[in-house]
Amino acid sequence: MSPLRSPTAGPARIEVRGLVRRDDFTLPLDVAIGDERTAVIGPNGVGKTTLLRLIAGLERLESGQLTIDGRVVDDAGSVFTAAHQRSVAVAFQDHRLFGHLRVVDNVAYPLRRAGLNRNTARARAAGYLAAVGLSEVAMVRPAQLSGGQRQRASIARALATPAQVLLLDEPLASVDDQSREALRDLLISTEHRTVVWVTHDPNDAKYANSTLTLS
Amino acid sequence: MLMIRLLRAPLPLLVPAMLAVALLVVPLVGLLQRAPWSSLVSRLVDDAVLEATRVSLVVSFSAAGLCLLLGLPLAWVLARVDLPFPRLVRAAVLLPMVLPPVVAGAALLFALGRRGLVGQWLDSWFGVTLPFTTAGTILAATFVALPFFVTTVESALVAQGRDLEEAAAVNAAGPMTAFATVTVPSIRGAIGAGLALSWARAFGEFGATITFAGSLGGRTRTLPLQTFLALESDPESAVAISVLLLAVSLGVLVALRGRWLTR
Repeated sequence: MSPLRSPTAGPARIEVRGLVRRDDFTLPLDVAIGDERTAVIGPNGVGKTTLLRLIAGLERLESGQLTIDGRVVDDAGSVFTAAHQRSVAVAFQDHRLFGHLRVVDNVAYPLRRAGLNRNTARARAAGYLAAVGLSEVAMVRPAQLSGGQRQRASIARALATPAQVLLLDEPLASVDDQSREALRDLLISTEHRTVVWVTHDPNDAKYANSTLTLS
Repeated sequence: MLMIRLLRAPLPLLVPAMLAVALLVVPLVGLLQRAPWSSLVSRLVDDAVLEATRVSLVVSFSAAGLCLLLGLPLAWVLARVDLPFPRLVRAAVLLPMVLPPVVAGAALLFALGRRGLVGQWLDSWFGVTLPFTTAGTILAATFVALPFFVTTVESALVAQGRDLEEAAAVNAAGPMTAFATVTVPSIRGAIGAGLALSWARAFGEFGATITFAGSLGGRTRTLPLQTFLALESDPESAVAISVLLLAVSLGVLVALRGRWLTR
């Protein structure tokens, strides 16, 4: 099995209809994501990250309904599937690597949760690290990485998560220009899952099957 | 050099600052100057002192263990759960830090004594009596030490925020897995500092212990109680134990330096 193939059931349709409460206002959402690669664009503060957090299960709907692959995961009431029980992986904009773990063990973390033993998980994590060009820093702690390297490690961890849905929050924002193209190719080559990609870069949006504009 | 740097400071600040240092240091010098250095070791290997040392070690480490066992979940709940009346809850948790220890001991007696609120049931249902036992001494020490652990760990949890726990959750870690594999390891420095502080507080505990558990040799008489007792009969020995306690306190302080206390 190729290290970059995730053992999942293929892409999933995501539908969000309802209201979500932000700090000072409520945001209406009426979104259907069906394609393998959807770019989410729109000005700052319009709720792009909130949309990803809703899909991930890190935020709850105020009213309405959210379905993934036809299954209701949040109905703003009694039904709420917790984040760890949704088949969703996230590359956060602010990386959120685990400081106490080596880079390779950060990437191995979701594989360990999926039941792989330490050595197998590490070996597979090394494959993802190679894919994002971080093989030489696999054994250091995240604090020793540059901002761009942290973002790449965060992408590797998200790719390693065996999930149907991959949520990317400005995944290439702090990556240098040379690595951007290669990383974009890598993200685009992700198959058999739904990728939701929040971006400000029109070049990223060009490669999506569809574009979702929030305003 | 030091004199020059000090003399540049404004006198209205410099003089009280020097007085404060004197206030803190002079009693310690007084203690060390009275210490029977030549017979120090022989006074510390005295049977009563060794027995009190044993009780003190059992009590202080058990109390620190209980602080970890009960305080870590409590700190997490305080930091992460939206509680009703959060200020009231936090005040109740912190109260033992400011409560006179004698009052703490009396309160424990009224709650857990043989005729106390909970104690009467412990006695009649389980035949358990806590006052004047080692278990009661551990309880008294835990009561006064727990807030030190909880506040230290809670502020570390608040400072860390929920970001890493969210990252664990989207990596398929359930809440307990996230707690064990991400939350605890990333605040292990604060947990260590909290353990050291609560252990030191339990080790030095006097007022609540003597009120709730008395001063029974080999069972509830810890080193501070032994010191107090010896001041009457054998002041030299009291000074020797005090020097030991001082050395231990200094040890904890040095171990914590650069970790928590210097922040």
